[in-house]
Amino acid sequence: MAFEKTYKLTNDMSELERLPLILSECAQNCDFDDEVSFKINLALDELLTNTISYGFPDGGESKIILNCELSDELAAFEIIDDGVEFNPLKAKKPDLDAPAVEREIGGLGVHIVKNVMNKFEYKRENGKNIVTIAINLK
Amino acid sequence: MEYQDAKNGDFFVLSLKGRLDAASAPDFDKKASETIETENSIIVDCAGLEYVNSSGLRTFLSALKKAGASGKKFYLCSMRQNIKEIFEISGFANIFMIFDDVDEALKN
Repeated sequence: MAFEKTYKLTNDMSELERLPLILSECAQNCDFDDEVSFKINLALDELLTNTISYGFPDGGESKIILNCELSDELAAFEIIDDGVEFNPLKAKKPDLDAPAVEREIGGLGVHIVKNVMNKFEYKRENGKNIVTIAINLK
Repeated sequence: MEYQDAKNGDFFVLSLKGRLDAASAPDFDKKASETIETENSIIVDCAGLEYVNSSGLRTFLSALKKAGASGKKFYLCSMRQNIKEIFEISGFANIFMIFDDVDEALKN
């Protein structure tokens, strides 16, 4: 079964509360399990948190587009924003072996996305950040 | 996020229920800090923890550092598999004492 939908979000942290509902709608239309839903929710949460927190330093309301494209084999999501240019794939890697007192949290969100998703790409096009993530369903 | 407190022997058991994300992290940070100030040995029971993201992990790390700086025990237990996986991916499984359940944590 295929499912495509575009969600319009704004650069407000309260928008993250919509993710469980969005995922629920996707899961109903594409029959993926709770574990997959958890991973997608987490990846979108991390990416949108970065965009909303750092993408719009001048404030004001901006739109963030979330495109969902689901098939039996793949759940793909595209996040498009016109905020500050930021390539998450070039974010500093966290030192996973550092002892607790030396651990820093920076870069952890992107590291998590890389590990829970099968595809993670970035491009800058027409002044927009376009991040694509996807997870295999089979 | 909802919290439940209980004393079990020398340990203070803080049970979590709900989602630990950017919205709930400041409240958990406060709750954990207050608990570490007043208690010497803490077990955070994660059986009801449904979700954690990097904002939530940040508060766990902050609590562990505070407990460590004052020589206090700060253990985690009863994590669901998907939560445990996020701790492992993040390298946090190596720096936290994580037990299967409260009873196992109490033995330490």
